[in-house]
Amino acid sequence: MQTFDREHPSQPLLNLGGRWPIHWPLSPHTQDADDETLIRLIGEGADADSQKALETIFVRHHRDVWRYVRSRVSHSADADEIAAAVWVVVLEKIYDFVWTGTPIKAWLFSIAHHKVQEFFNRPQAISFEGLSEERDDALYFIASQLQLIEETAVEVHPQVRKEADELLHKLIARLSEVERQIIMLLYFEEMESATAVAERLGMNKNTIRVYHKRARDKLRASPELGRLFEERPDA
Amino acid sequence: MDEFKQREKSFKELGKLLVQRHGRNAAAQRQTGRPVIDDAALRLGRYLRAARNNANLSPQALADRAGVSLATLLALEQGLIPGREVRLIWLKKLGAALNEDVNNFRLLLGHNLVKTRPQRVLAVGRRFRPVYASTVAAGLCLVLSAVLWLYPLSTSDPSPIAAPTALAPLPPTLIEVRPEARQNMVNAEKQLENQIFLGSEIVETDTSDFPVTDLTDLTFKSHLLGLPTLVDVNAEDRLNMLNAESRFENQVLILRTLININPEERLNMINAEIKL
Repeated sequence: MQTFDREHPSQPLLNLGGRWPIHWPLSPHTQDADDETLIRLIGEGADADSQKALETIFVRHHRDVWRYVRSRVSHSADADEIAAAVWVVVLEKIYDFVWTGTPIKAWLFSIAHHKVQEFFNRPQAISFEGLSEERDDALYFIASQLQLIEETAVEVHPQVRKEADELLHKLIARLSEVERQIIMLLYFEEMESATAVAERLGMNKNTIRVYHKRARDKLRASPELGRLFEERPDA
Repeated sequence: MDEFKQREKSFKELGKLLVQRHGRNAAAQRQTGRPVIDDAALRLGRYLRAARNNANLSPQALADRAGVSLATLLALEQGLIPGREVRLIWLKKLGAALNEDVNNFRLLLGHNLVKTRPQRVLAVGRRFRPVYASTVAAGLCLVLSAVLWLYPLSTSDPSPIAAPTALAPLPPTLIEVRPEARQNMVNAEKQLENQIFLGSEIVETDTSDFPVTDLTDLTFKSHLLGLPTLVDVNAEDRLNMLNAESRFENQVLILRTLININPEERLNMINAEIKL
């Protein structure tokens, strides 16, 4: 269902009604600067100039980025999330941007395009009969992070990790509070020592070992992860 | 506020957060050659996103339910807000909306969940450590004991040695006297004017003004007052005494008990009375 039908790209361009561009307070020498100047200010300018340059880029293009994403997804809520992720990538990669004469807008759209692709490539809903390959990857990732299997954890695709996060969140909802916190530390912080976990939780390390064993047993008995052990009886 | 304005406001906030993060990244880029990576913020973002997706909520729906802005929620999920700048009130609101324990969020942000003894909370709402509370209680006890010790001293009689009960003056009692008896008493008084009696012997007599008709009255008077001897008084003193006596018209002052007093003491008493 379309949440914001009137904002769908098929409608005449969001009915902006002359409210664009937005008049935010901008630095006088960055407001009218071209893309090349802005990129140079970000990389070489002082802190204030660098921040103003990025603000200028955001003000100029954030709406175009949002509309580009919105034209490819069916819900504006998804567009909000993906557009925010685009700007996080911009923050990380802006220092690697080399000016070749291609407008910044094209670079932003290419990032948005990749993010949309990631969004649609994520694993589908749970189906115990036929688990997708990515879902298996997510399960193996969880099992290796929690040391339920001998294999060491390897770097996985962001979408697989995202799927694994959601799956783990469902799994630990069945555990007790202490068991859940132990598993969270093992999974998210990749802790391996019972002493370190005990220090964080303010408990005895032997108590932590007992709770950890119970949590592992419960996770192994869960339908999702139990499937892995049925397929691998030696594990 | 329509959706367009809401989205504009959200992106304006998100832009500010991006610019702040860019400022930190720029500083780190100059020092270390790479941008800041806040693992705690990324962990929290991953967990928040997983919890939200499992709850089947969109970012806007969760933001509305929790009462935080959409930009804040998106920034938290993307790890844009550093872990040390994440406010506890956001976590509480999001935890309530997602039915999650706030301690889970705090754990991901790197906080230690050391279980401490419950702290005592006073009525004013401030938290005191037990050692402070016991110190305050000991101080209050000291002040209270000092007040209880000093209070009797401040309210007691300055002369702590009380007069013996045997020497305490007895309260006078006034009784009704018939007019005839009173007249007799006045007449008897007139006979004693300017005279003094020593026992039953009249030392100095001047009875020209009034006749002495009944000496028994005088004897009674002398016995009543417990005066074994009468001494001379001048006219002015006597007048004063009569004036004082007239205040007790139709009444007579008697003592509950009559005691024997030697003449010298009695004389001193009369002299003292005259001075008054």
